[in-house]
Amino acid sequence: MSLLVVKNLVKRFGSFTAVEEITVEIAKGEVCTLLGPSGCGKTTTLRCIAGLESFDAGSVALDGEVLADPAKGVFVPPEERNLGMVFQSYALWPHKSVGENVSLGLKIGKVSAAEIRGRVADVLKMVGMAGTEKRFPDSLSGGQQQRVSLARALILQPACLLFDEPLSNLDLLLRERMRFEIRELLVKLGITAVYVTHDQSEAMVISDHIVVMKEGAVKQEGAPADIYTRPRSRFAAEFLGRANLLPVDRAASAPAEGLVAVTNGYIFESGEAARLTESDEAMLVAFRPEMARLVDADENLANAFDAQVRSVSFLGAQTQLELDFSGDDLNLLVPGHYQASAGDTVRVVINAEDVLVIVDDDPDVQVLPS
Amino acid sequence: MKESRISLRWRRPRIETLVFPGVTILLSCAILFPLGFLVYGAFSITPIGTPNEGYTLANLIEVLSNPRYLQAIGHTLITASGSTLLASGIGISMAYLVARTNVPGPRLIRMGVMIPFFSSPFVGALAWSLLAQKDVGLISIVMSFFGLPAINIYSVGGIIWVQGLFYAPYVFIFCTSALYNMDPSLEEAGHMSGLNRRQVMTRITIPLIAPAILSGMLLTFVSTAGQFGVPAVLGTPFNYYVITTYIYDLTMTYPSRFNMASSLSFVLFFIVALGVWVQNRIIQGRSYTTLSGKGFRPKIVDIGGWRWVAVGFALTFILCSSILPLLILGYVSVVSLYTAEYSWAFLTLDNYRDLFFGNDMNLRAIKNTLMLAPSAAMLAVVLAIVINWVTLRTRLRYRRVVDYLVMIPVSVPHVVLAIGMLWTYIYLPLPIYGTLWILLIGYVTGFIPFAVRNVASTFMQIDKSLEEAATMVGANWLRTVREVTLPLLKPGLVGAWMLLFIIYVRELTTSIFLYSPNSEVMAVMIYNRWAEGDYGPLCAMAMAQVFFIGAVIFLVGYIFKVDISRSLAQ
Amino acid sequence: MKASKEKGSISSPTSRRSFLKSGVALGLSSICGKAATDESRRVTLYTSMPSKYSNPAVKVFNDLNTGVHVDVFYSTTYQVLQRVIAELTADRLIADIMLIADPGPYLDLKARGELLDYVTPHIDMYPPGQRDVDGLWVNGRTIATIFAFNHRVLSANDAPRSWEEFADADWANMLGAMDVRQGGTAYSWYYSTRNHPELGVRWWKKLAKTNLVLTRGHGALMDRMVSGELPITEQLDYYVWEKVRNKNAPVAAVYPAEVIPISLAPISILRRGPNNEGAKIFYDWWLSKHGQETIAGINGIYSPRSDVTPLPGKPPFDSLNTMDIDLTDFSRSREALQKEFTQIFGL
Repeated sequence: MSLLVVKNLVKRFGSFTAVEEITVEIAKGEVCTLLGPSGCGKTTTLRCIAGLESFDAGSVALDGEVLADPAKGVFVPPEERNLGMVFQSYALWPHKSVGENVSLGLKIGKVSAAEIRGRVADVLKMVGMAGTEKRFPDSLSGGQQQRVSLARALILQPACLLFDEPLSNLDLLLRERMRFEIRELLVKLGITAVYVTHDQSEAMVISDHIVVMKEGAVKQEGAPADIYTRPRSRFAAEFLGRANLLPVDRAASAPAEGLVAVTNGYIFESGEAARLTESDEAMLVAFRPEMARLVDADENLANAFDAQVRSVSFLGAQTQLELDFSGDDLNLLVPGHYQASAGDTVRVVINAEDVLVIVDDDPDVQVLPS
Repeated sequence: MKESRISLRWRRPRIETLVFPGVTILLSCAILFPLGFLVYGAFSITPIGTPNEGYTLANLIEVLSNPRYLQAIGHTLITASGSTLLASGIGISMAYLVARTNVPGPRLIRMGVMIPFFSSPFVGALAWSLLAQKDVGLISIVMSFFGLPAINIYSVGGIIWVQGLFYAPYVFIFCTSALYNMDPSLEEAGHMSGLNRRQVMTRITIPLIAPAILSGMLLTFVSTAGQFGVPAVLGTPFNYYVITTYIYDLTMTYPSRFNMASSLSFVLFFIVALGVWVQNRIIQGRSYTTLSGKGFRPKIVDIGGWRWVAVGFALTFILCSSILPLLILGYVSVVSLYTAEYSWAFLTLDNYRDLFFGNDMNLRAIKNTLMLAPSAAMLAVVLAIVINWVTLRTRLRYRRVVDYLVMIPVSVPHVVLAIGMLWTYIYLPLPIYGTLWILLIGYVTGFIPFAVRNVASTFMQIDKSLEEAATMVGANWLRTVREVTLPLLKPGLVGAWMLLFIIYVRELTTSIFLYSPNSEVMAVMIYNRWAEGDYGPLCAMAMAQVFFIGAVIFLVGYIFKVDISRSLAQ
Repeated sequence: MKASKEKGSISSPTSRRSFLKSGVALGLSSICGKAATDESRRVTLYTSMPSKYSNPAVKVFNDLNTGVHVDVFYSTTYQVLQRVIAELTADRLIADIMLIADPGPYLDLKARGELLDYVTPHIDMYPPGQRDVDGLWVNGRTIATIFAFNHRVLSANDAPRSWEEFADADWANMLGAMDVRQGGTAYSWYYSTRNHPELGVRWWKKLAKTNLVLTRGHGALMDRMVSGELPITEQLDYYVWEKVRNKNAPVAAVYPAEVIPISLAPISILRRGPNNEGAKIFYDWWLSKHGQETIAGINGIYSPRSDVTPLPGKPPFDSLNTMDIDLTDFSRSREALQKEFTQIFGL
């Protein structure tokens, strides 16, 4: 059974609709990430869950209890929702010591001083900040501050923890380390969490479940690997990583035979060709750069074609190639150090099941490899 | 389970659902009712308090066509513009000297320039009327010694002079903070682009701080147009009336012409509102992000030997605006008679004895002032916190209305507002009229925009998420304010409180219309002593006023480490 | 402190708390806590009599322990009147007794039934013309308008001796007077001189050419005369007398030959005032011989009572060339005469 249920949530700011009928269900013990670019409504959704914003329609329920539902006139104030929150800016109170920051919630809950002391020490130890009770936030580094902020949210043992881009203010190295630590902690404590980020790799590490959002609506949701390998739209494909996108030529395609033609004249065999019949929208053929292989020029396999090398960049573990495929740009990642130079012709092959057929949800933009 | 929780919430409403609308409604009433009386008065055929016999435009037409009223309007424009120009000339040049040149002792000059703000223009006018007294005053004696013609302080020039001196700190503060907050790399970029020092100044520096200068100038214009004390002391003796003094006379002669006063108030309201509107336009259109508040170390210009000229200029200003007035007030307060013979024989402490022991009315006025000013300042600050919370932290539908509403008193001259308040509270069947409460309410109402703006500028520096974080660990609104907002706002709040305290200790215009037996305040006693003609006790009282203001600035500033000039600039 | 009665000052918990928080309590909280004066003992006097005179007089009365305590609200004549009228209009009168230097308003108020129907036992000591025919108001002090000069600036030989000389062009820029619209005594001065056969409007027009400085009160005039800034000013006789006696000011009084304008400063109890019974006690004291001698002793003002002799150095009241004033006409012509004055002076 889902612990947190957001149903048909609508939030407007004046005439602007920030969130349009979003429905998200989060199971107990699951970490769910709301992923999307800035302005997609993910933070607004999170704040609606927290109770920091009221909304116009829909409902939020926690463990079967309605927290907010404008239609029924229910609005449980945020301080009574039993939710914890970690803010983007850490939001540590600069005039309070670390100990005071972490313990305020317990103090409000009238917990005894002795118990507070013990629990503060425990939770600080848990986040790797043991013994810092007396220090003040401005003497801590950004990462340490974020740990304290996490401790402050954890200490109340909330039913669900809300993260609002908690790592976006940290530098890259720290960010990459912290996301593993947070994941580890959440899993260890079995905490249900809603995590907001615009960083897809962060989302991949942290989440059990990703909800990809755009312009206030859910584009796709599912397990991280699922969304990465099987995006359903150009937006999801591009947002979770690089993808090669080629516009579909419907007239030349034969979905029934598993054949999808692209506008440069090539015809792909695709496991998803049937999707062409599912809607009339503009469609794209998509595949991830690492899904294609380079083969010898004379090998004649299905989905094998020639392309001209434009540039080669050696990245260490991989080599990145920019190719010209009959006028379309392609981007490939091949393992190891691949030796080629501009102007060379290479033969590309890709498995039919890796050739995705997705909706072009932004057809006005010229298709380029991301 | 679900239902029980919902019903629980009905029984225990959140405190802010009562506080926010409550404060809003109370403030709306406090501001709008007095204005309502004025609107009624301006368009009613019969005076307030007599049966209504219909409405007319005649009052307004009379005000706009009768040469006597037009003359008063013209005089207001002349004195306000003149004072603004003088104050700006002094304020801008002082600000530049202090912030951007190697003039010696910039900190001391900065403090000295601020002093006039702590005494009132009204007391300044009294002091200058003594200083420049024909044949008698210190200045006149010095002038005649050098064979120069005597200054006639009872003149347009005199009014402009005193107002200019006493409003120069306003422009000064606006300019210095703009100069201090300007990123010097913008000027350096100018130099790198091949501009010389003069071109950098005219093409870059001045345009960048222009919005701040204009704000300061308009504030000065608006304040001087609403000034009552100075033109009352220096203008009326030679039959020179400005709108405020004319309104005062219209209401305070017998029989009173309240309807005309209301109509004339409208003209003043219009002038002031226009000024405020222009100011808002300027601020909105040109709020450069360069003014970051970061406090850059600005580039200092070496002005060579001119430094000493600059020091002389600064000292002359401080002499004219603070030292001489205080000296003369101090002198007159310790002599029995103020005559041309400066003699030890007249020396006496009678005036002070009278002030503190002789007359329980004086003592009561001091006590009332010391009770009212801190509490009114405190109340105004508390209300400003709530109002700012509503406008900055909530999405309540009426928050924009609140935003405009609390700014109304800026454009209503206090003479006008005070008359409206007098009628409002006489009619309001609550024990407010005739008590200290009416003064408290009057003070808060009149200066709420000042408090709100001042608190807002510190409020905006607090990240909203700090408060939300408290909410998320279970703190309700009151607890959040107590645990997070107040401690973080503290320096800003103390500054705002100090400013309001100073304003309230000096406050004359509202007080003189609203006071009653037992609710006398110092400023009114000073005014009445002046009207009765009693220089000695008057000066003793004025000295006491300056002393209390100085003491509070010093003590509070020392305890809370608050720089008052910073708060003033906000 | 008396101000802190229950209806009065700030003593509620909210403001007290904020006040204490402000850190400037200075022990004032104790003031709020003190026992308030009993409401039935409290009488409020609204007067235009300068507080430096009214306060000592009231203090003498309060020290008599009559069981009544008097508080004073001071302002200029018409400000006091405006207040009283405003309070009457809203039916929340604070004033018990009104004492202003203009009989006109008393006629109005009596006609409106706002004066208490009470006749003081001392009524017989006040001749007709010094009181209301029904005795509802009585002249509490008589003010003579004269002029005075600074004898350090001008010798007595040079100084003007009559109103006619007062208005001479020789004194241009040296003269001061109170604005006729601002007070009862000033209006009385205008009324008497303007209706005087030898002076009249002609004289006022002549006076207007001297750049006469108009002020809101005689006090400011006195200060500027003492300092020598305005060496000759229209004055109230007791002001001059008091300045000379108490402060040895270098000024001399001139009682002009043509006419000495007289102002009555009536006292009366307001019917709707909160404490009529208490008011009677103070009212009777003010009109008693003791009261009148006290007031005259403070500043040398003339008492309408014949058994109160003027203080030494003051001419006997009978010797003054006063003019009888028809109070009804005095009151009725006010607006027209004030307008005339305004036009003469171009205000």
